Amino acid sequence: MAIQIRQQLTATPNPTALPSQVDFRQTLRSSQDGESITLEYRLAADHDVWFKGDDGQPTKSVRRSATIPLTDTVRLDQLVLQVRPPGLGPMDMVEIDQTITDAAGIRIPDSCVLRLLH
Amino acid sequence: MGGSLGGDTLRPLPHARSCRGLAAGAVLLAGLLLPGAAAPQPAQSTCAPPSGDTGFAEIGVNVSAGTFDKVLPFDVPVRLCGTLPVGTADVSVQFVEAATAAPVVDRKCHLVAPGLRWKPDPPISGRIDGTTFRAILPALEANRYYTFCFRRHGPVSAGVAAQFQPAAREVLDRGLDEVPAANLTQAQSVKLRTVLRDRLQDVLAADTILAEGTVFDPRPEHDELRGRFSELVRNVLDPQRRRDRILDGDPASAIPAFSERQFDLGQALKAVWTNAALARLTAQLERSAQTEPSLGELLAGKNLAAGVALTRADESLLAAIAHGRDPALQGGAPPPDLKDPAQAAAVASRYDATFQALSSLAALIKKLTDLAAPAVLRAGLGADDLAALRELAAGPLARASALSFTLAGLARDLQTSDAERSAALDALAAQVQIEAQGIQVVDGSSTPNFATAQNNYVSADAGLVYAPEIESAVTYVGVNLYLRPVNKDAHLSQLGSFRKTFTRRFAFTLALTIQSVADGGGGRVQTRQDLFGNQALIAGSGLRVTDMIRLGAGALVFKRKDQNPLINRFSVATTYYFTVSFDLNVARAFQGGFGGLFGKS
Repeated sequence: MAIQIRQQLTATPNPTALPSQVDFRQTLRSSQDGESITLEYRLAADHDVWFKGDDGQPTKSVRRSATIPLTDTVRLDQLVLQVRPPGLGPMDMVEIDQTITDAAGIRIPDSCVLRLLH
Repeated sequence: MGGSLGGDTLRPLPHARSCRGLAAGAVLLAGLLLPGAAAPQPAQSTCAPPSGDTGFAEIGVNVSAGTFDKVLPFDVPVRLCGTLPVGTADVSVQFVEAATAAPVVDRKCHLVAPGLRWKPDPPISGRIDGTTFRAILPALEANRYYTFCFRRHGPVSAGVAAQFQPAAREVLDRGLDEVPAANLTQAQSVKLRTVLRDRLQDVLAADTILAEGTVFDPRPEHDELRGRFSELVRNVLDPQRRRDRILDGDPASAIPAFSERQFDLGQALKAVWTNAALARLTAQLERSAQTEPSLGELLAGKNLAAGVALTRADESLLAAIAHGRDPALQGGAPPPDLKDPAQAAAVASRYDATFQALSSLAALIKKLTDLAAPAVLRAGLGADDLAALRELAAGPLARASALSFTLAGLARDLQTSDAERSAALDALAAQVQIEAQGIQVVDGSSTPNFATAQNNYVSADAGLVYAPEIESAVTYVGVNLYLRPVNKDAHLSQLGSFRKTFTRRFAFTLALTIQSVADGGGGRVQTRQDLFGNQALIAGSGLRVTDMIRLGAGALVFKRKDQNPLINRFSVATTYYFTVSFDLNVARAFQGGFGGLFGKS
């Protein structure tokens, strides 16, 4: 009932020009087989880079859920990023903060930096 | 003065020998630098002067030592020659002069005293041939103090750039560590590049860095850290951001700081440690193990033994476990530095061990609270104890186990992030080193001053004197007394107009005739005698019309017979004269014998 990050979050392609679908990968394992977790990806509020939400609307945070076994498991979340107002820009780099919440409510952080091509 | 020239050797040209009368003991200010201690050493000098008359005073300079190989002359153009480190692109010379005291200049050619200025402007460029340079100075003034500055312009050598890399890494490490986000702002970049440039300048001991368009250029329009170097910077900031979120937490995402998690683990461990049912269980198991070998072996297992030991730990040991410290280093040992990959890895291993111990304990509790548990495990435990143990397993023990597992993972993330950041810093510093290797550095340094002649000049004079009144023409020899220093090696024609060179032409003359001016003899009445024996005195002044030929006039002093024929007495008398003479170098005359008076070389 806890999660460990075995390989930290990466974004591919990186650098990239927006809009673009970006693959976020990381390897996780749990202390308990089949642990349910949630993953939240978040962008800083002040810039003009946004996720494209599941409903097609721009959003600054996206949530995913997963079940993690005892063994190392590679996870992939494909998220679309886009540039749109409002917000500061153009950005050279944006930071994607991830928060994983395990079944016990323990929150652990990960992040990656995406370099943007103009 | 003639300072040592090190490897430089110059043979003075005949016409360029230094003037007698030039003051020694003055000081030379020279600089030239060379980026830093690791700068290439000057090659052997090739400053041997040409064999013919070059028209210059040939002076050797040791720019490293700040010395000339002879006293600097005045009134003649000077050609300096010295050696430079390999790779020098160009060298320039300037000087500052003062009439009354040595100009105050710091080691980097910065004028300290007000009112002084380097000249000429623009500086005199030296000509470089391999590692040898020559620079031509205009004629210096007599009676002046001079300070010279040599500025070298050249690329930073590979050796110096390599020497700079650790310093660059340190600057980047500290500078980027202060960046809280993944984006380096313009202000942060300017600050970082300024510190980088200053540190490079320190390492080079350089005066000026010509780093336009490089990462050492702090101007906003040349933001290379956010331009060409942005990928390398990102590689540092990315793991740094991960590290910071783990260590410091992230309130925006409700992520606690690492230390907060450690505190939580400590509280959970304490709850386990103070659980009475667990204490009774472990005591009972250890008693049973004395009569039940299989139980003894179970308890002797590494992880379970550690779990059982945990129930007997004191508070300080629990605190050490909660903070991932080495239990053997309790007391005054500093907390682990989680920005150090090795220490973060050690902390991760300790949390792993704690997790294993807690998991074993949880497994044991699960086993004995199972309905089918062997009697030997449950011996002595009542229903209340079993209920309390179930509650413990589902509560504090599960919490402690999860937290230790999480902390182990986070400590390992820290190790990875620290290592990635460190490697990225190495790569960035290496690129900065390469960038440094290409930039140009201008350097100058200073040592003491130099003075030109402080004494007036005396020269020999020999020629023909004609006194119209007595209608006598004889040869004479004497001395010319100038009112200022005169360099006989300097050609008057090169020093300007007659008016400008008047003080170099005009001199008072004091001489004796070689032949007698007395008359009489042969039946004639004697009307005059020489002043001294067979010589009359000449006192007057003259002007050089060429470098050597002088025209003069003055008073010829002799003895004249009283005009009263009854009085046979001679008294001192004067008459005017004109002379044509050769202005000779007294110093050379005495050095080379009297015959040297009439020869230039």
